[in-house]
Amino acid sequence: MPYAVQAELVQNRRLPQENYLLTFRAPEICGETLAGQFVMAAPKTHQTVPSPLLKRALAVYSIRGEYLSILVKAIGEGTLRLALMQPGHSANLIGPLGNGFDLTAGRGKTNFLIVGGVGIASVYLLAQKLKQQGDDVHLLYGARTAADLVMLEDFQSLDIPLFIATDDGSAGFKGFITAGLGDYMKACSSNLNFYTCGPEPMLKAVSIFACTQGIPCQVSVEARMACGFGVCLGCSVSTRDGNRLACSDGPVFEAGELIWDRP
Amino acid sequence: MESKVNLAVKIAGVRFKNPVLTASGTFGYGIEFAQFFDISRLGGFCTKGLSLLPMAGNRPGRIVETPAGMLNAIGLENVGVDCFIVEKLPLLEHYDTQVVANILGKSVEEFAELARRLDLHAKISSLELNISCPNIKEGGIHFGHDPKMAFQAVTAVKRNTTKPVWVKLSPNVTDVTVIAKVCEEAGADALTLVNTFVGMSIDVYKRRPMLSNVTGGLSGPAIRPLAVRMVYQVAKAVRIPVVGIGGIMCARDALEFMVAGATAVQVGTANFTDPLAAVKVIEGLEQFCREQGISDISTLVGSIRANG
Repeated sequence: MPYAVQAELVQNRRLPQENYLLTFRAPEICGETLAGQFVMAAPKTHQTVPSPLLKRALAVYSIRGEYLSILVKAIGEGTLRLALMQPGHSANLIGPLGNGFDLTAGRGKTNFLIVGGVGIASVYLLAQKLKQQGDDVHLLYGARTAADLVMLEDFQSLDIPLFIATDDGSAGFKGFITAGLGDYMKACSSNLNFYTCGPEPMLKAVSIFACTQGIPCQVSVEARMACGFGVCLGCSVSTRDGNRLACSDGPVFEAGELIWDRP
Repeated sequence: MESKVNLAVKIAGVRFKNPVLTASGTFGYGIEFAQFFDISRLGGFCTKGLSLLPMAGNRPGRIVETPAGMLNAIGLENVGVDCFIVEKLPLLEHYDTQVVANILGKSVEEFAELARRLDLHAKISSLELNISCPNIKEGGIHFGHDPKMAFQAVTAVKRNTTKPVWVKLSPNVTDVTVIAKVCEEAGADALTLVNTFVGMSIDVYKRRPMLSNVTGGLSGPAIRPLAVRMVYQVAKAVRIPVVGIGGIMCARDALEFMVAGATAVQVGTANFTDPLAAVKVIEGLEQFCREQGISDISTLVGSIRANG
């Protein structure tokens, strides 16, 4: 069940390339958050008309006791306003929202977390949980440049194998993560399970690859949304089951369910 | 001891415990908000627009944020009237709030049939005709812009229901009082003003419309002054009650509509930014009345004074 709360910012960690890791004290939300769920967030304001008007949907990056962290890349007005928050300020948060990843699918499997850019924000909790249930986890992380590879150290400290790709070759494999995926796979067991989150072209490529190879694959999608809890119907996603909502039916869908024919 | 403020209002014989409803399309089928607050606190709520058959809505790319507002082109996605009656309505039974069923027909006959099916259910207090959704070609737009068709739709619905009939008007007309008067003549019991304004937003990098539907309906505080003006005009032009809607974020905004002539108000887009927005409006109205020494909120309705 989601809560609408005011949560105090306790830390704002500035990271490279306009990324910020914001940590809030939000005990109610922390108590119920599953890997892959998200919150709607906006700084608290005394204006009757906040600017921008709508909250932003952001994956819960990590939970530590009563503290919840979100990774924000300041790319627009909404994310910039969050990024500029100072400790002591409060945000209005609604969460936890969405379905989250299905962890049972990863049981006894070699799990590939295939992420691009800020998609990394959706999979840290997942990596932790999969490790906790004793399963094999690999992170395949693509970004524009080496500097964009934020939060790597968190995954390193989970002691999981990494495969890195950058568009400019400044770290790891030069090219898209999906181009290196086939070769990386060869070194691993055939008992694979994919989780993926990132830019839509990457999700599409990973989904199609997984479906052709017969590898189970859960995809966390992104869509513009106004409310986050299933009433605005703005975040519609085309699936074989008809239109579904990224916020309340998703954000995680099976790769085979999604239809990728958007112009 | 503080005297109690009477927040109750009546529309066509139906009592609303306070003048704050939530708007169709922003409140689901009601139950979605019960996880955030006791929806019995609301004067009432308007359901997502119900059609005879379920509708899938538009392709993705349905909303975009704009200054002080948002554009939407959901395309009337809804579960259909039968599913609403069978699956959603029973969940509302024990909530003490007025349920206003918003209906949308593609023809006069569909409007009439929707009214007939909903008339049997006591939990529904009133019907609100959506003759104004701008997002699908066959959906209501003819009714909202064509006085003759609006007249026929209202007459047909009135013939098929014992419940009060509200008509939600489109602001995308030259003179909103023309269609308002026609609906009154056809027997409408109340008018809801306004639905969204047709707008457009463009991605300049891709040079494509932001919405898959190209255009969408603008809502939020950006439209409030336009909506207040239309409520003011229509309240002077008709004798039936007006329900004001358009960018209400707080009690002050709601009061503007009431002073302009609205008997009740609807909170819409604000439900997305804050699920508790409507409750805060109710609390703010009570506080305002208390501070201003107003014992009955209905005395504010249409209380606007002339300049001079």
